[in-house]
Amino acid sequence: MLYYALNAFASPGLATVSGWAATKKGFNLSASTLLNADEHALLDAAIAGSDEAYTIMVERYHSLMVAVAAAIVGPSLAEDVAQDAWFSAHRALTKFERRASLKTWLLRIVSNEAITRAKRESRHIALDCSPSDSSYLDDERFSGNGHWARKPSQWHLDTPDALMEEVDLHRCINKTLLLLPPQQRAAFRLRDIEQATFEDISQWLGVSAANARVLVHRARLTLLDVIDHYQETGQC
Amino acid sequence: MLKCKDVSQRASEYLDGADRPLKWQMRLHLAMCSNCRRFVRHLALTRDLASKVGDVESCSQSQSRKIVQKLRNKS
Ligand SMILES: [Zn+2]
Repeated sequence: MLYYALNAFASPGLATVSGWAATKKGFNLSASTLLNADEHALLDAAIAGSDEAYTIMVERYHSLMVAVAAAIVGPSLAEDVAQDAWFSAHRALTKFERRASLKTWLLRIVSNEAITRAKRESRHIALDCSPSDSSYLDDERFSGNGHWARKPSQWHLDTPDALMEEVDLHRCINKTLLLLPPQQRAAFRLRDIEQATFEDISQWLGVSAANARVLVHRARLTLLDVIDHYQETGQC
Repeated sequence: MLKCKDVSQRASEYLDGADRPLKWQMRLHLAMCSNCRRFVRHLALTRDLASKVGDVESCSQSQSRKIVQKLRNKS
């Protein structure tokens, strides 16, 4: 079903003049070939006006772009901002020099788009300041002299393999990820899932590198609390 | 000398590759403090597990098609 010629869906509106020439080259590329294509081939096909190439790019990066936008303008405007970012990206696609990866380039675009939008809506880009986020390190954890008052409890599941087998726990983790404040959620995702550097994360989220570290740490602490609770109760 | 509370606050920095002075201070503390060793190990397990099983929502093909359609209409 996915198997159709690329330019069948190319419309004159999207294809640039040079894009039309490139369409010929991409004529025999099928959608399933595109799915496994490297970034360059995907970009070439998109420039040639392939809807299929755009769809694959959106599938791959849209939700990450929404996460970054949500960290900056809040969840209610995030989808809108991410879609605007695709429009900007589409217009600039032929100018993309491909020194950075497509992901990096798209995240930079959505970040700029979100920062502009936040200014326009006069929303402050403030760091989530909810000390109660992480109940793991609450005030009772430490005594006045900075020693553990309530020591970290022992885990009976304390190897990566043992934890990997707990399907219920994985569900708890995913539930928790959805509930994290947007900045923490984006920071965690960029760092621990996408393995981005703190330098990149701080740029994309419009916070200092130190604050990017704080956001990631808070997200991990919240998750640690969930696992800790699960070890004791077998529940979220 | 770092206190346990400092260790708990900077543990992610340590796991993510801290600069040299912090690394040594942390190592020194961890060599002597089993509670903090346990905490740092739990935090590392948490990070590694969540990065593997964290099911980041992705955009479905039908959603993606809709977005591309919008893009077309707009241009
Ligand atoms: Zn300690």
